[in-house]
Amino acid sequence: MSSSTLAPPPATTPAQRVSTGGKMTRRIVAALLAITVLLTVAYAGVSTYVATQMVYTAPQTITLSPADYGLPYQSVAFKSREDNITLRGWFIPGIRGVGLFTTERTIIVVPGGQQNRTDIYGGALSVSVDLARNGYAVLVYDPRGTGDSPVAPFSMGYFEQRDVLGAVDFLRTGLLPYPDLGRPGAIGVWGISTGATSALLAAAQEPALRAVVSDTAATNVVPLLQQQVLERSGLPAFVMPGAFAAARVLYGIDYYAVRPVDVVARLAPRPVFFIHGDHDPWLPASNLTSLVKAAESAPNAHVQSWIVPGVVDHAQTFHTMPVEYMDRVLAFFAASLGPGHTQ
Amino acid sequence: MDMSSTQQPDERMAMLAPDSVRVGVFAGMAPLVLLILSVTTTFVMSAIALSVTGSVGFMTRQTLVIAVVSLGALISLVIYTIMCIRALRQVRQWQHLGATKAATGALWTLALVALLTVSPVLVALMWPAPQW
Repeated sequence: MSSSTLAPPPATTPAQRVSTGGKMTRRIVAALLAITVLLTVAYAGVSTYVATQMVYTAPQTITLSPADYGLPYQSVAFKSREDNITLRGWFIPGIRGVGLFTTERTIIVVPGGQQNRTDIYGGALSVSVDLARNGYAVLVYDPRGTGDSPVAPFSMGYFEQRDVLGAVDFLRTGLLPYPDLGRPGAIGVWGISTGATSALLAAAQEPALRAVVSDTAATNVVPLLQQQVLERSGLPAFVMPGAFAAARVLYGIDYYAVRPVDVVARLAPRPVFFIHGDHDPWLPASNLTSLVKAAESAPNAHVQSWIVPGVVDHAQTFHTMPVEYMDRVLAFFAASLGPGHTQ
Repeated sequence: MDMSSTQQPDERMAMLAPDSVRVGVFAGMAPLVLLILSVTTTFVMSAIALSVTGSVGFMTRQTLVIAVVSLGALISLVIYTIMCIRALRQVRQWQHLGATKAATGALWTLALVALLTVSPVLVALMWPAPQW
């Protein structure tokens, strides 16, 4: 046989022939892998972006001071509890009479979320001024991330409660702004919106807070945060679980843990006064009902509540009825802490 | 042409591990296992970064943590992609060599891996709306 005769083509076994079906299946699985990883990466990216927006606070300039209301005050600085963030604020002595001051009963005023110490929107400075004029010393400060306090992520009270606790520590052991007046004999707290949430969470773990006024607090913050984020961004609701998870990973914020309704029972027997607007568009008045019910579940609870009529914007209870508002708050503190000024 | 080349595929088959579903499953699981390991490492590193930077300013902490998470996510994605490609190439080789059980096992496992990879999105879709 001629050596030039070509050998027959090598025989191929059936196994060596890849079926069309097998190749198609492999391609389908490859496409599935690609699509799913792209979906997950996109979701993670959007969630991360939403989380960064949730914690961001736009800077606000402080444009007013107690001096604009004819009140003396001292600028103070103190450290938050646990993480030692330096917070800045004002200490306003209570007015007992002409030229007479007192710090015997001091109220910590906690502004609303992402607001500085003046919180013109919620009325923190106005409330502070009225308290001081009625004989209560006031410590009002910039929560972390606002005003002159350091930049920090906004956590709806998860971290801000440490600021309230730091204020308590300052009043009890810090450098006295008015040494001649001595330390406060009794400390109360007034908070609005996120400030109220922070006040409730702090008071639940700090017995030195002898009385609490909680204005427009939430039972838990996740529904509020979700509502606000979705309204402003137009994103679908399913991005929020990822955003909350991203906030936990990136900032250590557990929004699901911010639940004043779970801790208000611990305030007893200390008095607590819940206030809420009847038509608050961000937080329905049912939040107050739930908080009151939870607080009253404790033995020896002392709970007051007031749903302010005619409130159509968030946390506008003071601005809607300022005279009656302050009458009720002053009466509450007088009953809880004693009158602000000496008789 | 070297006549011995016709022997190689069969010889290779003979040298392969037994054609079993379990072999295929192991190959298909590799991308997921490594993904879980790299993502877990990323979470651990970010937690460490948060804890050791407690005393520095927020902006510094945020920058560091975002850098750690971003790098970890990128590495995880690269590892996952490479492992998926390797697994699919292995499947193709098995299919060429007639190891259909291993190839089928790997393909089903890879499909399951894809489902698990997208599960966070599916969970988010089914997450109950928060209540007051």
